[in-house]
Amino acid sequence: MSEEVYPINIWINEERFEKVRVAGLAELTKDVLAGLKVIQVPASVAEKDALLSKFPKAKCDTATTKTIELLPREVKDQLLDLALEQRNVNVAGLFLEKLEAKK
Amino acid sequence: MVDNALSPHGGKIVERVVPTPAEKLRGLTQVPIRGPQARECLGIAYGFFSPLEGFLTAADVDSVVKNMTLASGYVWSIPLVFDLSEGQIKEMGIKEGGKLLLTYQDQPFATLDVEEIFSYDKELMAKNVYGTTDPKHPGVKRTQAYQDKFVGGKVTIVNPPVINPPFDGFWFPPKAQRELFAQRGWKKVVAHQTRNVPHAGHEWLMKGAWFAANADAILVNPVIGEKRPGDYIDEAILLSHDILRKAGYFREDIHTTSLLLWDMRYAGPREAVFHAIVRKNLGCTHHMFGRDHAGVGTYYDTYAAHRIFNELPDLGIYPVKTLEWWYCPVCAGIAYEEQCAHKQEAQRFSGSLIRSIIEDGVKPPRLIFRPEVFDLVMESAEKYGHGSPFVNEAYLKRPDPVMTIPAMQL
Ligand SMILES: [Zn+2]
Repeated sequence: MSEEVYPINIWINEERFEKVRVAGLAELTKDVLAGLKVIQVPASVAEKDALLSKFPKAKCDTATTKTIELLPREVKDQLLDLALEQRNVNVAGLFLEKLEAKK
Repeated sequence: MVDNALSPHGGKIVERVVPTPAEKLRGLTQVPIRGPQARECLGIAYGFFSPLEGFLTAADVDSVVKNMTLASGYVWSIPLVFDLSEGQIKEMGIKEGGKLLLTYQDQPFATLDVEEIFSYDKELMAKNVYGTTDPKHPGVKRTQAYQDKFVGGKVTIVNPPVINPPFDGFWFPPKAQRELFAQRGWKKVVAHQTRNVPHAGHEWLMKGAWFAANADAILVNPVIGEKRPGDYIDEAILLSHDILRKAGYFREDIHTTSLLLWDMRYAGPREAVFHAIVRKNLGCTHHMFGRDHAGVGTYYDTYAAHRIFNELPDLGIYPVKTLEWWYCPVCAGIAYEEQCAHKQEAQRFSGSLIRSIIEDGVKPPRLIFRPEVFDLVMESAEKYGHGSPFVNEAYLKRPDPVMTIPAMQL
């Protein structure tokens, strides 16, 4: 059975898009509304569960969209920063490692 | 029954605000009331709910529930009732023919003439008003939470509240609202009902309705009342609509904002009728109805609130029925569902999308969300929302921010 993926939507406005473009990730963005874009950071089942338990207000509708919603703004900002730094969107694991290391 | 456009529902604006000295209130049976009841008292006494002069008596309740009219024949869709338990009635010795002193914030506030004490089938009330008896429906829940007895009778505000900032600048009871319209020379005004901070979809809904109604002006009339976690905070709603005009997206001479104190029932089509009547009382000639007006969950068909007006006599306020506005990348702009044929390419304004963007503090393109509105929402979050533009626990716990009842020694 292939591993399920639970995306985290990061909204990309014009200001952010410039940085995303420089990081070479522009092709991973998708137009959502009138030029506002989204880039998705995927999370595995284990990463999703870890995020939901560390941030109890977050939700994941596993039946329909499968996206992880209502993560704190800071978390999403950090995920974007990591993705730009790594030039890669697969940063959910790295984010959780860093969170663990801070303890 | 119907009156001409521009005349209030029932022919005249009810005004039952009579500042009364303490000595005349002494000795009356005191009944403390909660926020929703206080707001209903204001709605009645200042004439928002004309022709109602008080809480409904049995004949009116029965007629509203079964026929959507008052016993007098005037269309009325939501029963406004004052509930007490049998125990409270006995304990306080409340009898028909008496008068109650309703206290709010521990101060004398209003009197209620006890014209009739009665009970009514709450199941039937819920079923007819909300079209469901599902207790998960917030209106049904409210109905089922009523105590077993109702007191019908006239309401008089005896100690008028002070409306607090920033709400005070938006407090225009029907008489004052009508005076404002007259001063500005506005004869055709189209009302916009909202519980939202406006994005471009709302802005174009209003602009489109202004064209459709060939109106002189738009009245934005947000509903201010009981909140649920996740709703936009009241201050952000009011101030953000106002800033659309201040920032020039609407001209000063075609737009104004005022508030309606009302706890949403989420009664879908029946609530649409109620909204129309209240805005008629405010002096509006037209009322916008978009998709899923006053709906909740999946209880009502998307355009049930459009159709209900076909079944009613002319209310003297014309429903402007609108479909969706969306962003169309082909048209390269905001487009209207009935005009733009690029349904496949259309990018819709989804409430949850806009909410998520705002929660993340990401400033959206000005085409879909005005930067002035965005900045104001963020500012309101800090100033009024305990850090969030959406209702949280701390916001829910605050005392009534809208009105303060002046201290009165009995
Ligand atoms: Zn188009």
